[in-house]
Amino acid sequence: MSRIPAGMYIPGKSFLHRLDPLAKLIGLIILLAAVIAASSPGGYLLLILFIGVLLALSGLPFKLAIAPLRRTYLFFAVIFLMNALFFADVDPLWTWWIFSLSRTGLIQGANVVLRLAIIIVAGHILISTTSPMEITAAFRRLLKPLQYINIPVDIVALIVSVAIHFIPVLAEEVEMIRKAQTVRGARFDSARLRDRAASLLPLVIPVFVNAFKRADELALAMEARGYRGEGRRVSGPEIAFQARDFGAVLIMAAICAVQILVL
Amino acid sequence: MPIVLEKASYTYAPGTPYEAAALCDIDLQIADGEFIGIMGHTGSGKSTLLQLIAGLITPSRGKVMIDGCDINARNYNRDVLRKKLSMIFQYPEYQLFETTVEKELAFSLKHSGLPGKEVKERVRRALEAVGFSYTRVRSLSPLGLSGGEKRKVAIACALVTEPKILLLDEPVAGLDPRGRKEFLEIITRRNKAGTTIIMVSHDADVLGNYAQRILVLNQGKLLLDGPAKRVFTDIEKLEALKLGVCRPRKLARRLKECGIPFPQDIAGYDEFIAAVVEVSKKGGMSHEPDTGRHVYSR
Repeated sequence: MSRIPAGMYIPGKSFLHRLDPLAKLIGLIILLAAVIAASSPGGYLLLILFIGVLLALSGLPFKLAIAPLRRTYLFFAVIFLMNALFFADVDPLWTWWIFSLSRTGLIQGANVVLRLAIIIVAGHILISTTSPMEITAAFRRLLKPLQYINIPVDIVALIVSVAIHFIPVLAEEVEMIRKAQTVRGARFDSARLRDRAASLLPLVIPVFVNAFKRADELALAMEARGYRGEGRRVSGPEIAFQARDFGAVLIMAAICAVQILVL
Repeated sequence: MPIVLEKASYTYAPGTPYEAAALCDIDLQIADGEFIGIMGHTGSGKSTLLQLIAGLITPSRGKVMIDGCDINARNYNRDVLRKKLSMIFQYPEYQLFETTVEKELAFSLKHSGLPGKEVKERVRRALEAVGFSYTRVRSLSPLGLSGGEKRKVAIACALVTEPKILLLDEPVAGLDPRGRKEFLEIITRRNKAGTTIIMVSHDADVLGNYAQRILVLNQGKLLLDGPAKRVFTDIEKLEALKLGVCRPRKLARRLKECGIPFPQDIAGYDEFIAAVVEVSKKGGMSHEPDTGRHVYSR
């Protein structure tokens, strides 16, 4: 592993690290609602400031926190241009061939990009300050009420936890196979798109084959250790909401309410 | 010198809480045709060292030169390196992906610029080198083969480029004794034909028997470097580090402890047997042990 994969848990003792994972999860959901409702410059400013405060509370290095944005800048550029250049408006600022640049399109593009960027950074902060185990536990608690309408919450939570658990394992395996194929002459970092496309299959096929094999083995191992779908299992100590968790969710809700209702 | 490392260092994930120094100021020179074994604990930097030489990672500091060229220089053509050097990873069978064994091997020659006939010929040679019949396996699916056969195909994939340098990362892990012996014989044959072999292994017996020169890595530093015999002479140092020692060397020490004047610069079984013959000729083996114990007691 030569670099930290996106979305890796970074242990720490900051305020955000210590917060109840469920509070963080609820907070993120409230924040998502606020982001989707945002449209005015003032609203975005408030949200960005808020994210800044969260970052400061998380104790993460700034570079690490915005790392996912640097990896996806191309994606943002495409989304922005698609919106800016193809938005059908009555009085475009500039037209050429099939493109028409319009004010509404530019605003729309900026809107989408800002929203996505805020969501990505917020999600990244959650994942970096909460261990996968904690996220799963929080997820299970969040979904608990659904038990009463016969939704197998424990099984769903287990599926999520296994999926989260295997991300770093798979990432490491991808890295290993990428290296093995590089030695065999695959050109992953070639400047030519054709070379890169051609080296995709040698990477994807082994990773898939191994992932299925691993899934089979995991299922066998779980059954061998007595796993059955039904019944209640315990995993670690139960956590309860504390005053500071309530406080955090309330502050979050208040800020987002201001954003949605006032700005 | 064909492979030269100058003060090469490597740090994982620099600038993050996961930062860890894997290798520290490694100075190393390897001549053509050497058979080198690398020993060390998990995390001592063995695999990192191989990956540096293979050009898979760039040193944080220092240089890696192969045949006089810095392989991390901007103007260095990596295709030259890929033709010269192959590497067999731990569990190499995980890298297989093609629909037939023949295509699987030909993938390694895709950028070689060789004519189709030569590619075919090389594929045949590589498959035969690992003990396959070309006509039998060429159109089988590599993913449908048994574990041992998959491993052989993966090894053939590394041999098919006929590399000058072959790097092996724990190649015998998970092989049965017969597979292990077959594999080591293939590698020894390659080495006799002039290929430089650099092999990482936990198994001191394998290294003692096959490698001419042994490097011992400890916590990212090159601790010992020398002919196998000499490295294993320092048995106390190896044991203090809780590293394995090859069995012939341990037997030689037991013999000495029993009062038999037995040479201690022993690494492989052949050397051990030769020493036994030598010592018995001098009548040394009939020596009554001082301790009064039998040599093979305990």
